[in-house]
Amino acid sequence: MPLPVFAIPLALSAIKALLRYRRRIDEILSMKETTEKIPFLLPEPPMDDKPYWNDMIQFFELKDGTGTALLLVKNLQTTFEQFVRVVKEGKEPDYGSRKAFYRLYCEASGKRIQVIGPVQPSAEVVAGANPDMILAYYVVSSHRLSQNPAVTRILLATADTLLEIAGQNAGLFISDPKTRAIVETLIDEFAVKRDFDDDKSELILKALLGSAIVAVAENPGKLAEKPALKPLFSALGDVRKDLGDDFVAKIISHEDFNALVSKYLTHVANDPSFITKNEFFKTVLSKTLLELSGKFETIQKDPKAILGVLEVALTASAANVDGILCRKFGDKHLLVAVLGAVADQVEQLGKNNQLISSIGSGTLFPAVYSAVLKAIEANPFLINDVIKTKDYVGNLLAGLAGVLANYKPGTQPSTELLENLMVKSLNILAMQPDFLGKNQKFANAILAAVFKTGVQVGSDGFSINDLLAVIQEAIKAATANIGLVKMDDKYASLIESFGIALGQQDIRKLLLTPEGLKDAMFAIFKTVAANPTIWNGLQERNLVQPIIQAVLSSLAKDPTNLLSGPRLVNAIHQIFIVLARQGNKLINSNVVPESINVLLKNALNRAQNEIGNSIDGENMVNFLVLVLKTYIQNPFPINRIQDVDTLLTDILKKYC
Amino acid sequence: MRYFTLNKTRKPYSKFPFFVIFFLIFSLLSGCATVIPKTDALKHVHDTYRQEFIKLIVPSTIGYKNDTVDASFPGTLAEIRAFKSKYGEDTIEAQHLDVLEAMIYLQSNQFGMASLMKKRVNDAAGKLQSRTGEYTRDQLFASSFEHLLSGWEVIDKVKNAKPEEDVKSYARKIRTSAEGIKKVLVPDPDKFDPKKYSDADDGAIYLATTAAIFYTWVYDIDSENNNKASTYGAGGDLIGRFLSESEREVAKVETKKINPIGPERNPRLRYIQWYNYLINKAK
Repeated sequence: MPLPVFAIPLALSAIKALLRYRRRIDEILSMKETTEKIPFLLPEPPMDDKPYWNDMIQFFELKDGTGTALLLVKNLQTTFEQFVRVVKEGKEPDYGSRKAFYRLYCEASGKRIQVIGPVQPSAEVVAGANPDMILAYYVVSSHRLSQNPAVTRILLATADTLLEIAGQNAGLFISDPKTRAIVETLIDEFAVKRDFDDDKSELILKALLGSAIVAVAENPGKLAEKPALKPLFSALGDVRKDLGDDFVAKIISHEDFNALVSKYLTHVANDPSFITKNEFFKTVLSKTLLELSGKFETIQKDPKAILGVLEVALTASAANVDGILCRKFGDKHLLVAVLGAVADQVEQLGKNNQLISSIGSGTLFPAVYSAVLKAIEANPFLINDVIKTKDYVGNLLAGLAGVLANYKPGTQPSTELLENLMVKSLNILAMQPDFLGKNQKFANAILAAVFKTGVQVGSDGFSINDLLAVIQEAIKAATANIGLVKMDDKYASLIESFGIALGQQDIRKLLLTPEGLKDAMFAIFKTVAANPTIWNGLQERNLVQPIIQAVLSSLAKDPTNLLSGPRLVNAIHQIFIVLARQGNKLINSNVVPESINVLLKNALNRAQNEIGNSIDGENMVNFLVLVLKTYIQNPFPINRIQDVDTLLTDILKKYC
Repeated sequence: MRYFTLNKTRKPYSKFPFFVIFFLIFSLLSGCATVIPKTDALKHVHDTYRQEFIKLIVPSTIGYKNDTVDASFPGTLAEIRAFKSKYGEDTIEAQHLDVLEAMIYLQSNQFGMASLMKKRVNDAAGKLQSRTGEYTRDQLFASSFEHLLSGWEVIDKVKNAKPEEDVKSYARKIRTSAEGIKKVLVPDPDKFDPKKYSDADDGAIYLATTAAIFYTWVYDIDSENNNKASTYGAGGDLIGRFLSESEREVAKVETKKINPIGPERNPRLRYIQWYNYLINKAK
């Protein structure tokens, strides 16, 4: 199909516009480049030989010395004699001679040539300096050639950055209303409202714009009508005044800053109430940053921690404008007050706890901040002032630190490992903020029990992720069951007992993998959750350990080899369920743990004989459960072998 | 529009040609290595110059030439030629590069080549003015180039003077060069206007310090016929005109103890140190 005539001018003007735009910017930027600082040497000053004439004479006159030999080789004896005569007469020797002798003297004696004028950079200083430092000494700056300074610089910085990063799409970037809003916001908040007359302003503007462009490119189509960058840029601009360019530069140059900008761009896309609070949020952010800077030296120096705090502030505020962003503790914004409380407690506890002081930064601090905010949000009447917040944080951190101190005792876990554990534990706890707010000690006890289990199980048992998965499951079970919460310490103690028992060598072998061990723990939680009152009763009578031991030690000796892996997990679960279901018989001592142990052993031996007749892997667990259930319903002295046999035979006949 | 028709037997107008056109446009643009080519090329010239400058620095601090280093800035000069052939010789950028090229020849003792640049550099002076009315580095360098060249060249002759060679006439020539630079910077001492010299520009103070160093050569070569106090004082005073009040205060302190190349990164330190030295020695 031939090209329509009218389309050609359209195409040409599109080409010209695109090229003109680039050419114009190129002209402006290249003119600016001509006035960049470039280094120039000053002329070399004259050698300062005069103070050394006598030294030179001594050197060259020394009999059989290097100087004498040099004069001979270079045929300078006569000239030297003349030099000496003139000097001794108090006159000035001829210029060429004195300089030549001085140069020769320095070369031969290894001395540095001295020159007239101030100290020149020595070879040693230059060798130890990096190129930037060297150039900085020699650069000669230039005034601009163009007329307007600040406006031009803002436009140049913006255009330059857009072209550099957005490239061919620079024009498209600012023609789209959403992204144009970003550039307008940046220039307005960061460059126009403040002085823009130095290199640092330009660097910061370019970095912020660069981050915004990258964030936009990573989130195509997800921008809000009015992206929420305004409060962030504005807050950074505010704190530049109080905290300096370097503080802001550290934050925005950190590798995580782009990710933070992405979150700001997209997080509040659909929340109109947050967008209307832009000015408010900006104030809170500024105060948050100022609070950080004044509080805790480690945090202030750690851009990752600062970014983490900003991210937490954003997500918490966006999720709950009225409950978090707009709320105050006393005369302080809640976000700021909580930050201060957390910082104070971390610093305070860090004095007496090396673990906390050594990991009071990086990802831990934002994790604590986040967990506390979530707890406050979920329990607004429970934690409703700074004092209660500090108490809460103190207990949380002390509990966690105590727990972690017991993790792998005798080893020296790295700070990184412990911080990882603490942060992930906090994140898990924070997933149940309502629970955490009301049952902090209970939650800490669960953590302690699980970690202790991990210790007992040893290095080839639970990994960190396994431990964390177990914690999560234990807490999840507790949040759904008030009965477990009422067990209080006993629940944690139960977990520990089961965990230790499951970690025994012979049981672990049967469970086959750490995954199996984990599944067994999950099964235990379900078991206990099914009947917390009975388990509480058993614990009170110190029957839990003996029962667990009775059951697991018998299963560990299974001669059939049918109980392993998932089947064993199922067996553990079903057996303990049925035991608890008829738990009163155990509590009242109608049935004793030793009986259960003997019964199960006999049942397993009988099952071994029935393989190929009536027992296989499919009905094995059912068989064991029925044996137990029937026995507990009508217990008899377990040493009556005949009765045991009869019981087993009856069940095999009826059900297998 | 003869390519449109209402004849329903023909196919309706297609958007295909538009896609072809815009594909061509973006192919054209995406084929370019950079979106701001002239700026990038000029930046590259400067970067190459800085790298070659660093190589020049090392031998000069230990007092003798390192024969393994080519101190004639070959890379930079090649890039300058390439830039001018691509973007023309009559642009501001080309004129800036003329000044840079001329200064390269001075610093690398290629005085013959520098002489060949005299006219071009002189012509460039008028075009390198700032629209604000203040002087710029390149403008001042261009205006002073003739004196810079004569001073550097004569100093080189003096440094290589043979024993018993009469060098006193060189002192007069170097003094003339210093005075020439002074005349460019301060044409009329009674009408000196510091506002013409921007705080952002170090061209004047660089030239003033150059002239001051020329003066030290004058005294060193011919102390018999030159007074130390007035010779050094002339240099010190000239530098002092372009120092701020606070810099003059700093100069009173023992600046020789400050590490000239260090993390402080004050590019005006060398001028302040020269001022300190000359003022003290002139007493």
